[in-house]
Amino acid sequence: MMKKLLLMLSFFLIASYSWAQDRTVSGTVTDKDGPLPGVNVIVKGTTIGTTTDLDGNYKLSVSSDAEALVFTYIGYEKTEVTIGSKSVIDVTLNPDVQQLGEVVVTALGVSREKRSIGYSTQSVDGEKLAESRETNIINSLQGAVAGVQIQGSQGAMGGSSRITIRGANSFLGENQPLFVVDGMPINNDNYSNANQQSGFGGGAYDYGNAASDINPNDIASMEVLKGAAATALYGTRGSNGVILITTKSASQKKGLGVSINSSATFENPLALMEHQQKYGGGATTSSPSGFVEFIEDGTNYLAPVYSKDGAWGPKYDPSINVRHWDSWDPNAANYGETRPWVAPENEYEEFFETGVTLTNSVAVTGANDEGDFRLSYTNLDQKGMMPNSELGRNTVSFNSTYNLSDKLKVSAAGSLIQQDASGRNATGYANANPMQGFYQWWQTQLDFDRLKDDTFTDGTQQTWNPVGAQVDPNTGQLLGFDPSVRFFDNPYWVRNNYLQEDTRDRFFGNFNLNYELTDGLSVNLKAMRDGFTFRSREGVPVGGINQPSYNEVTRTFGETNLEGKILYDTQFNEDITLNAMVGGNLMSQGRTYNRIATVGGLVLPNFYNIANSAGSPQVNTDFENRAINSVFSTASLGLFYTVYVDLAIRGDWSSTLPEGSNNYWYPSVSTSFVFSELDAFADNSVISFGKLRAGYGQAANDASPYQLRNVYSNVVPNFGSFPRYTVPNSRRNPNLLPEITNEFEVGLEMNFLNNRVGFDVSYYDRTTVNQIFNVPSSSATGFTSRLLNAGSMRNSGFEVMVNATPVESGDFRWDMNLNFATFNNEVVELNEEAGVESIIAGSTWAADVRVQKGFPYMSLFGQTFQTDEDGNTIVGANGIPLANQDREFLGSTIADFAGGFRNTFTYKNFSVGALIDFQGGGVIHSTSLQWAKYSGMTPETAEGNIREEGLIVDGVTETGETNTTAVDPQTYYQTIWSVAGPNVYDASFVKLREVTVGYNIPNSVFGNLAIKDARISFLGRNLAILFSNLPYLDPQGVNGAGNIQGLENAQVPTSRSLGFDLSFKF
Amino acid sequence: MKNISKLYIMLASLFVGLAACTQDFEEINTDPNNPTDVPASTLLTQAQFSLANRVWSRQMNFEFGMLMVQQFSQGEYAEDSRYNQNVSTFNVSWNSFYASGIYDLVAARELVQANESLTDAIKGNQTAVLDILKVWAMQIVTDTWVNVPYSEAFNPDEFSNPAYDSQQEIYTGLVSELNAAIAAINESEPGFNSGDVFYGGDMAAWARFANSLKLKIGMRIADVDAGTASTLVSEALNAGVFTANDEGFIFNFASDQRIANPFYVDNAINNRDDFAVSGVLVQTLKDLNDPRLTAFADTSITGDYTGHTYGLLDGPSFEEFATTSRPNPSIREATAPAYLLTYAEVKFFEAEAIERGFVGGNAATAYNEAVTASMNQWGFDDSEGAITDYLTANPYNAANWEESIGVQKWLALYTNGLEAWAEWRRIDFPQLAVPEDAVRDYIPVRALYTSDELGNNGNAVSNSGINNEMNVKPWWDVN
Repeated sequence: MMKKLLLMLSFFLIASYSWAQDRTVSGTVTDKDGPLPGVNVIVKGTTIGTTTDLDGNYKLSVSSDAEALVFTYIGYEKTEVTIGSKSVIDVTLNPDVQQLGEVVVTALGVSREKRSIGYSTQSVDGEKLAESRETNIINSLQGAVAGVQIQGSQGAMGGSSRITIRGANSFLGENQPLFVVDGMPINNDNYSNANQQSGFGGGAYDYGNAASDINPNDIASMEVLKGAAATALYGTRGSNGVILITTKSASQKKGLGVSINSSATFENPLALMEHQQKYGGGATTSSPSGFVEFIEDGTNYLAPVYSKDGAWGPKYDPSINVRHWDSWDPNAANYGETRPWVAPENEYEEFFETGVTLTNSVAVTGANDEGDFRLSYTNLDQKGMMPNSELGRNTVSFNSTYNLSDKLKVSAAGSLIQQDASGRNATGYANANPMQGFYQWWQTQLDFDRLKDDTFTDGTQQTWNPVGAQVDPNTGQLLGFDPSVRFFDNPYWVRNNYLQEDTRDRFFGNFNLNYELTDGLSVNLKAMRDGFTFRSREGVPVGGINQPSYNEVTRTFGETNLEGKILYDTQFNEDITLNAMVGGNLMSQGRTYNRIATVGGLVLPNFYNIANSAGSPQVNTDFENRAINSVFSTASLGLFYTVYVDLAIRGDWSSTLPEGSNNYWYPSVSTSFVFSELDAFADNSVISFGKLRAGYGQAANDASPYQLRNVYSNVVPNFGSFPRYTVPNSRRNPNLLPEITNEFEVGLEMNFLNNRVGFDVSYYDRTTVNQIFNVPSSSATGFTSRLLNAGSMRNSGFEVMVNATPVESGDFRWDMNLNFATFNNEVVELNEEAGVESIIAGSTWAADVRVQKGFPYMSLFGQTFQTDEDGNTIVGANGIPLANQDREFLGSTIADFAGGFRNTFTYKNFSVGALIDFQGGGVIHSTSLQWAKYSGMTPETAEGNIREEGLIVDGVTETGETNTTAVDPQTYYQTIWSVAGPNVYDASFVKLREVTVGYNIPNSVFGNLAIKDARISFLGRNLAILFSNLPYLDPQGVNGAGNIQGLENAQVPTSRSLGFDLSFKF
Repeated sequence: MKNISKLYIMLASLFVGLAACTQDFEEINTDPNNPTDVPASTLLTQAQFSLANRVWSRQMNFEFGMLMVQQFSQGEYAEDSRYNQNVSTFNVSWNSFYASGIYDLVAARELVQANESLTDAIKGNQTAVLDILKVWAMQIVTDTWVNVPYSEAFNPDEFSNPAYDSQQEIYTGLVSELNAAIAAINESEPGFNSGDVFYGGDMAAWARFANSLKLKIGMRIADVDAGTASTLVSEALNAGVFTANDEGFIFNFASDQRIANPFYVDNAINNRDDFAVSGVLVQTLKDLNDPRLTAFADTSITGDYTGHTYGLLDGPSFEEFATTSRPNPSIREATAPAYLLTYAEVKFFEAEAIERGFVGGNAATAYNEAVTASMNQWGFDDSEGAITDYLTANPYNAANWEESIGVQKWLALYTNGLEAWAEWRRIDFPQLAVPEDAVRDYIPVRALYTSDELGNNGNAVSNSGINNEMNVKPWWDVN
């Protein structure tokens, strides 16, 4: 170390002398594939140097006493060649497989050697991502990155997914990371509201999250920046982490190249609820047979109770013939037909179709001395598992760089995306979501082949759940049959007649100008734009249970960023490097929302048009604009290839905060110490790399627009001629301050045995204070909430990544990587002054999730059964357990830990890989199971002979004796449903997330054909739930991408997919 | 190197200068979607609709008030009729009363007070209208939940956690607010020329309503504070209360489903068919040979008027539901009015006031007028002597006036569940039984404080002076 310090001093002394330059050395730098442009060539021990041109050529004047040339290029091993008497030095650089030279993209697109980074980041290879064939890039990150958690309606076609990094920071605000594509922040809006997230929302559709527009096939690499030290430069919007995506560009090799990729995957439900097979649907009546008994035209009939949406009907008996739901069409041949009372041949699994996802893409690349380009087209064509659901997406991406001169370079990159979907699935507790029936309110005897017949011969709906037969209670004569819907439309009729269509047209891209003022000093100007128009149409048909309606919604989004940067990048000598940057950004963002909807129903059936509104249509519009101006600066100093120090500061001016507090500054500092460079490790054969790092960062967040002044809001319609206005229930606040997140992290990275084994461990501790949120208030104040700066929340945890190559022998190689993260979260404070200790963020009948002081974020609360000192359930005299009246803490919906474990085996041209991912802890409340038990649908409601003999709850009486009182299971389940405890489950899981089997077809196979680099692979995603404590359902399937998690309600099944993938180039 | 630092600093200053350019921010952050100023009348209209809609809502009326007094019965998922309410049940209603309906009145009052273009007389009239409505609504709130925030309510700057007042204090406050409003009325000047759905700005009508309301408040406390009650009642009757059905405090809903009668919205729009007319009510009407049976109920599929047994478990209740009577279609029409305070009820109060000696007069006459008014309200007249016959068969019984008035009032207040429930608690007639399968072993006499209030104003709830159970009687309910 001392030696190096002396060297550095001498460098400063020597640097002021000029060097004699008396001969020329030239040559070509290549790697195994061809010439390498942009390689740094430096005369050893000097600052003299150059870089190679597009053809990999360089030419350099060197002094007579120059010893050697040093070739450095990001991602390649540093190579030193003695000059001697040579005038031509050609060099082939070897890729640096060790971490030493690994390059990562950091904030604002600055590429840095990983060793110099003082905070945790994790890279994901674009090829790996694309290989998963997930259409939403968020899902492809599942199990791949330590500290990242994915939730949402995975599996629903085009459904939204939620991603969080290191947990949630904000009580009610955005908690998902910022997506940045080639420097451009990308909108990731999703339109689900709190009602929808807790499973309500009137059949609202899941419109996905907007970042799913990013085409996985265009991604070269993804870098996940986790902590505030890494993301401070993104200001406000980076406070939940940043996912930096670099799209593919042309390889800088001359000539044209074409690559083609095709894949097909097939999807089926991964997990479905089991229905009991012993009893049919409806109710058991007090008649002798338990059926509805009636006489029609002198014939005696039995019929189940059609109007009851449950499964407490009579026991199956093939000798009993009954009038089923579909025997009532007076014009049909089967009118009056009876069939045996038996379990259905085709259960609701039949309802789902095999989903098909076809992805085809072609990319053309080219380069010459002046520039390069890449143009790609990808077509995604998806058919969902729900009948009549389709999604198509076309993406055209282009990027290009053009060198106007040695110093001036322009580049542009952009994507045009056009997405069409129809027949998306409605979510949650709604007739429009067939899962509400299948999972909660169903008659178990229904055969799905027969349900397909969803209309009477006159074209009106035929449902399994009509009001039904009307029987004279005195004579038993059939008075009539009311075919109108009691609660549930026929699920096929829903999928055939409800309207759902949407389109999104989007462009995002950027234009760059880079000018090199002098060596190492350059100016970069960048203009970026992300904009889309999203249109949707929804219609409820005439003839169903819900009022017919039709609406059109248009949403637009636009964001422009203008960024200027001055970069200074120098290497004083081999030992001292300096990277500095100062810059600024002007951001402006606008959203519009227009909705027009019918009122009072539709006049004509099958005509979805605003003109068909029974009443005058309702129009709603909303505009939202905001702007943030920013400046930022960083400096990064590297010493001796060993110690690195980064300093960064950013200042934001936000339009959404009041004058006086709309400007806020936040710093970050981080340092990395590569201790394996110390002399003591020089000859260590075990430890090949070691680095300690520490970082501290601060981030700040502004408010939503328009929160400073109280307003009145219009209520439609006018009452007669009187307009109506009301005071909104949320009170605004003229004195808002920005919310602040502070985070500290430390980490250790080590590689052993020639880098065969390595680990990376981080610990972070982050607290967000001054949160801006609508503090719920007693409505007796006149407001149900008021906007305040209040509260703080703390997150901490460990993140571990382990990489190993246990076997590498000849042509065989086994790679392993494990990532693992723990999550600790506590709501430290809400609002002491206002006396607020709890916010109910979302609730169902029996359970709610809260942000409550002293508990983890989104903790689940509900009633439980009373227990004695030994933990026995206390059962009342009626045989039903006694419940505690107050709602209690039933667990955190946040996992304690999560991770993924991937193994890849390569033998010659074959490779096999498998990813298992897991989550430990966290709880989920299942409303589906609550109602399925209430309705007598699940097997436990029909166990043994409990329906005939009653069930005896395992517990003790109030006096301490063993309970022996039997209770009718229907009474039991219909009494305890409001007690959340029995329907709260541990959400831990282990899933076989991915298996791929690939074969690289040798180029020789194609002989003289131009085809090369062909690869075929078979893949499976979400193949199996290897372990779960939640019966039947998928613990990851909740409603949407919002903050409210842990409340399952009529989940749309997640999908298992299998398929193949073919790619080649020519 | 030096030059580079200079350049760096220069450009840095340039960036900061640019970024600190925030003169557009004021404009960018001005809400284009909502106005910052509106006429007070627009808030009045919304408050009138919102309060009427709430009192008539499924949650407060036909799934609560009307079930508590057994006018309706639940056909399926019969939880509420078995008193299986919990702290979440009333969240929406509590919040709607305080933060929507009544607060819009308070906000409108501030706008009226600040409006310098109004004459003193008009300003006084408009303020009176807003205050009368507030008193009317607050009485319903306190009669439902008993001790509630009042003196510290609607003042978010000063009291972010409003304390709960005792019901007695609230009544004292309401009386003084109401007296001040009555005193401020100038009947020769208009109130709200626009926006007043109830009375179209007619201050004489407002004065009659204010005095009728005063009568109602007075009679409510008759058992607990006869002295005050007597004063209030005689003042009100002297000043002039309703004299005809059409003077009543009646909200006429509109045909647009967004501002239509909640019975209609629930049934016709939301396609819910969850309520039948209760067996108790049908039996009473049949026993009295009361023509209103045909106006209250619809025939069942068998063509009869069949009441639904009140308070059964889900299974038996559902089995019975197919053959029992639904409410009459006339109360489920979009424009069916909400009878919030009627001439009939005023007459019942008068009869009782005479009986109690608060004022002079003939109690039986007032009783007959009350029953007649109710018959008329439900579409029956005496042209064929039907009402006379009815009164002859069911005359006023001074010896058991509680039963006479209690039962008839219970019938007259059909569809106004909360008021029927309040009067049943006070008079204790008709005699209602706790159903066998009820979750609670008493008929609830108050609603539960809400989970929202427990969470957001927990200390105040703890200090409310009453336990949060449904058997805590209102202050005025002394037996």
